[in-house]
Amino acid sequence: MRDSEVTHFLVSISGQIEFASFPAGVFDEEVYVQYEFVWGPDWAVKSGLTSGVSQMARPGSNPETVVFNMPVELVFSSTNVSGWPQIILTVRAKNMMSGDSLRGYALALTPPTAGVRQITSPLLRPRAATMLGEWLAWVTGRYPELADPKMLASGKDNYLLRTESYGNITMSLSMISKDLRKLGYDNQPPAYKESS
Amino acid sequence: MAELHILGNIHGASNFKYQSLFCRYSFQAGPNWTVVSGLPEGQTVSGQLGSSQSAVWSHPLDIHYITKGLQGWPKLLLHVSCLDSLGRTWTVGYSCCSLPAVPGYHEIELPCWAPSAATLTDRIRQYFLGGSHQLLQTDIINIGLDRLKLKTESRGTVKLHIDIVLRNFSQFGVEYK
Amino acid sequence: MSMGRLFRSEDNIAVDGDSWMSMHVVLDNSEYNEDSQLLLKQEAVLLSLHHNTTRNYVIVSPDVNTLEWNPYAVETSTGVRWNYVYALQLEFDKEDDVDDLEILLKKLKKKWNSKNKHILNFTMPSIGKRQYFITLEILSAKDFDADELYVEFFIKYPDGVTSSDVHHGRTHVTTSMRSEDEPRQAHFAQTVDLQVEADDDQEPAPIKLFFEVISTDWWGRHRTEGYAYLPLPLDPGHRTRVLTCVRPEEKNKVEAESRRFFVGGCHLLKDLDVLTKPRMQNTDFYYASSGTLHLRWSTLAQSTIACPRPPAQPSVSSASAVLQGAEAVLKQYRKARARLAAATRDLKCHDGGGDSWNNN
Repeated sequence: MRDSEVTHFLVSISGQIEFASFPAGVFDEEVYVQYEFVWGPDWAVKSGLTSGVSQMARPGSNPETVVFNMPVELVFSSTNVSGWPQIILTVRAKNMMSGDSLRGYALALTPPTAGVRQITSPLLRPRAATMLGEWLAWVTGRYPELADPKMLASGKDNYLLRTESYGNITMSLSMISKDLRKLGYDNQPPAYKESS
Repeated sequence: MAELHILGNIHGASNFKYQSLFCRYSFQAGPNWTVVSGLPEGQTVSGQLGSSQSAVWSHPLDIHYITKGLQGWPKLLLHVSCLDSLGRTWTVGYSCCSLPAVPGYHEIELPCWAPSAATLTDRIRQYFLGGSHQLLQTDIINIGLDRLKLKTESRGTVKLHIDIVLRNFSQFGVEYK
Repeated sequence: MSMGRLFRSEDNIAVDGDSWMSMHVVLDNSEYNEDSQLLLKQEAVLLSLHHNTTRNYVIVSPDVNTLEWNPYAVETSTGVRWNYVYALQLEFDKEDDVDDLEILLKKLKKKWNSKNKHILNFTMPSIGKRQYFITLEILSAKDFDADELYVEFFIKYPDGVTSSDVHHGRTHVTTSMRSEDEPRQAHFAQTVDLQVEADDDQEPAPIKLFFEVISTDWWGRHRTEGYAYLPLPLDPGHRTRVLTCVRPEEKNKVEAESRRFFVGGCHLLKDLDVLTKPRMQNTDFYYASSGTLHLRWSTLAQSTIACPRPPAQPSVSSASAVLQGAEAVLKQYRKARARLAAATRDLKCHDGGGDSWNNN
């Protein structure tokens, strides 16, 4: 393709959702994570799964972390850097007593620079509106949930949602792009790294 | 025309002494710059102070500027407020930062300050009833070389995780790295 | 329109002996079928050129105007208005013996350039000069003895550069905050925008920045807490720096402490360049270290070294559109030529003397 005919660039994201860590400890029997990608209107998915669910996992010798190691792989094609894909994670727990309940939502931006990036995102959970609601949630283990977690990715109309955070989720993603430079974009950091 | 993309998120706030915090942000730039897509103003969710003395928001930012000149590089203005259980809000901090002009990933810390009570009665009232002073003209946050008359108190810090992508700047003879 | 009526009038006595030739530019909204045969005639005259061949002058009717200020509305001969506005401009060109197609393509290129002029319009510094844009942020001051602090900064520009008028400024006064493990911090978050211009071939010396951290108390006294010096090199990039501050003090410790406690005093250094030179041994004061000042800055440099190549991307869609437009125009051109041949055949029958205009 001649230079003047290039209109799209390709972005390939691959990596894995490694583990979730809860500093207060994990008291659930089984924990699993669901992921979903959101992207802007100028983007289109060329291949890969845009959503998925992991296997059930339990903490091992370290009672604060639950490891998933769930692989993620997608290829996008786009004409515009705006609307760069983001990944929304939902961590849920399954218990015999309280059933399937929410542990938190996390939002992360897929890396816009080439190479591997380890991203640690906090897990947010909506709080109950009243004190009674909070006490009930603590007793039953069923926390209030969002109808559509994708609203967290748009950045508007969140209506001052009250949230709390009791953990983090870490993922390692790498990005490879094609024709991004040809279209005039520069996303590479400079070679030096000045220390303060 | 040259283009600037700002991607990332407002991660959270730390070292504030209030329980439930949220942030209103606004991007300001000179007359050369126009917003093509994205929300130049917005409000995060409200976060509770967790075990690490920090409230997290993870509020996504995706803004696309187009420009005719280098003057007036965009700045981000923040206004952190506290939300109590009754639904009242009051100002807890202001901050401003100029966005980096270098592509790549940046973790930026914004130190915050809040206007302090001027007189003794105001101070007593603030101690017992809560509330705070708010700036009437918010442009003092980012403009003005002599702010000596403003009395403030230092508050916590807000963390920003930002990726910058530039386009076509080098064609206009601009060096940024 | 009145000129046309004037020329058609039977009582026109001023034009005896003169021979005229007219050319009309008509907006043809008629309907044709595939063989270019007229189905429904809808025309509006946009421009009439009347050439007086005896005295050799041209009358343009209506006159030249501009599209933004006073455009003409398209009207048919019966006075019906269509929803188009237009403007007329006169350009005088050398008459070259070139192909019609080349003239057409040249005109298309000119039109496309004027439409996309805003894309190439980026404010550039003057030729041979390089402009630097620096945004400096004074973030915070940590670990000072006093609580209520502000920072005063002074800027000295090197020789050979012209600069914006920022030489001096002060941040707001802030009360430091204390957190468990960290030292006292005073937050400023003040941004300073600087713009400097220098010649392209020289490497300008760094800009000298002097900072003075001053504390105030409830008496209203100002006391120097520390000085810091930063030579800011004009290299493009984004940098963070922590400067340790020093405070000049008299050699006699007792005297120094009591002066500082009772009198205070700021702007202790009259000549700030003392901070830039290495310390001499035989001075009558020494430096005491105080807290740290955190700064961050971003520098951009711009010059007209390389002639900017217009970006390829916007032309991708409009170039093909332009080419398709060119093809469509050629088709129309051929259609119009056929129509004109048909029209002038009639004309030749009417005024026997006048030449057909395309025989020049």
